[in-house]
Amino acid sequence: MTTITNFMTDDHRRCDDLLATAEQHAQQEDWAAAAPATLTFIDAIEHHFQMEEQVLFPEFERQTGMNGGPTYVMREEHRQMRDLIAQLRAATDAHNRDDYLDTTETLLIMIQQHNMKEEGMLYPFTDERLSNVAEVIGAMGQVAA
Amino acid sequence: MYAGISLQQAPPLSVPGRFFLTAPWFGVAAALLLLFDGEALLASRWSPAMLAATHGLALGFIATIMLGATQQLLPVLASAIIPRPRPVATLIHLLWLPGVALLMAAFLLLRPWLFHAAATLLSAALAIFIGTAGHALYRSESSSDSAAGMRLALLGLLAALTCGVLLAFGLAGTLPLWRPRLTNLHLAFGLIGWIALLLMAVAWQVVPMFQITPPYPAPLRVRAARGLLLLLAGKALALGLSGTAAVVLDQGCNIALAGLLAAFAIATLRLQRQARRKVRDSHRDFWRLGMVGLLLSILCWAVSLVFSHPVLPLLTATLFLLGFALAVITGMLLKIVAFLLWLHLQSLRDALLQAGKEAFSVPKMNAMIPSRHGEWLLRILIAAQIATVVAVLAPRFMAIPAALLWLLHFGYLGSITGYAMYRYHRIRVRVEPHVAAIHAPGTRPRTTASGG
Repeated sequence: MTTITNFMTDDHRRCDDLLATAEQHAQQEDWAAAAPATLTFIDAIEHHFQMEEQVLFPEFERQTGMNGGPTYVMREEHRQMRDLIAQLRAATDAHNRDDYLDTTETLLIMIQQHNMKEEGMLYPFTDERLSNVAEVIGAMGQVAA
Repeated sequence: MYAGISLQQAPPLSVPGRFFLTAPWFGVAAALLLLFDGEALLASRWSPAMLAATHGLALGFIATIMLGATQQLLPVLASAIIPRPRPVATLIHLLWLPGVALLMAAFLLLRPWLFHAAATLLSAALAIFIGTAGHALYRSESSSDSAAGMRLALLGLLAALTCGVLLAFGLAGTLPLWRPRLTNLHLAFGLIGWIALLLMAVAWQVVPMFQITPPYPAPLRVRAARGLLLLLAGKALALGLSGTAAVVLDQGCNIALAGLLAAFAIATLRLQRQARRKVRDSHRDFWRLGMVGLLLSILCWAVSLVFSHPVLPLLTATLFLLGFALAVITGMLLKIVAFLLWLHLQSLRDALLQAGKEAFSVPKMNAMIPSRHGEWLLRILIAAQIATVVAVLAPRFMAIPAALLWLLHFGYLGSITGYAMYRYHRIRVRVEPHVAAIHAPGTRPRTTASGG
């Protein structure tokens, strides 16, 4: 049976790969490839945030009664990542390689320290605690890409 | 399981910051010893200056950064939280710094009271560190491998400390000095059980996630860490035996330890070759350099099994400490400091926005610590490492150039991190009067805490 941990961790790795591809094109200043690759990455990570914010976090809060704790922190970190993603978009539009790489360097660490907390704690906790894991995964799969 | 969950409580910047700011200056002190007493220092592993310099490096630089970084990384890597982080860090730091300085002085001056004082301060600092970090880790319900690895590394540290205290009392004349067998065990627990084990536990997460590589093979994670500690326990057991049995057990453990460490280094290099992230990043190069240093150290040790020469153990330890541990830690330090400054500046900006004030644009990591600094440090480090290896072989000619390169390395590192933190501090001082409260990243503003 698929767990939330596996399902979401796989999606993290997919986003990582997309970021690595986009970054490599930007480093070579191949903007014809970098621009669409960056958009693909942004769509993927935004979709990931939406799966959590629309489905996983509300379900977590409903079933555990923990409204202000872990999900609050995770949402705050989504907000910070979205700030950086907006800067990434601007660097892509301006074809500014240095800005782009500065942004991805910071964004990558921000994403990874966020992922470590989710994969090490939040997802295993939801697998353990939520009564309807399969249903939650199904609902997350339905979130519009 | 999972009775509670918490993802907040990133400690205040000053918690790791004080360790990161002070550590490079112990490196400078060790380099000065090499500069003024190089030939005598390199004459033997037992020379007073050598012991002072190695402890300055291993405790003053490497362990100081590891103490600070562990307090910072526990919540992220292991979901483990040290309550009241600031007073705990203050206490550890205030005991630790004079402890290391006194220990260096004790080796140089060989006064019993200095050994007693140093052993007391260092054990008090580490007792608090192991107690608080251990408590947080054992309470944490994180399922990550790194949490398990960090728990094991704390046991390694405890064992290294115990041996170290016994040796300090031996040198002070209070206890019989059990040298070299207890010294070798002290080294094995300190270098492998604490430094290598902790760096491995960090690597399992940091290498795949920051460099976008496949994960480490499962046998090289927690199982390898448990194996390392069991083998070290085997070496401790050999200490209690005598005759052939002791030699066979000890050497058997050594060979297995070398095999495990080599497997870890080779796996890391292989993962890096498969990295999806191809962008140039000195952080990756510091890790790569460290793994090459580790492999060379193991090679040196293997050669010493066949040819017995007094220079080989010295080279093995040099390559391990300066080639492996120092390279990885320097690379990690630059990355962690740059990221933490960005994260805390982001909180300052949020606080300004919340107060309805005009915010500033947050300088990103590369603006706080430009990547060219990392690249230069890497070059200087490689030059210093090569010069030191040559100096071990020919102290008369190379001790001074090696010492100058280390002075440059540690002075440069201390200035980069110090200047970046000073810039953060200046921004903070400017912002603080305009906001009611600044919250550490990842903590909830109190004003909305009741909103739920």
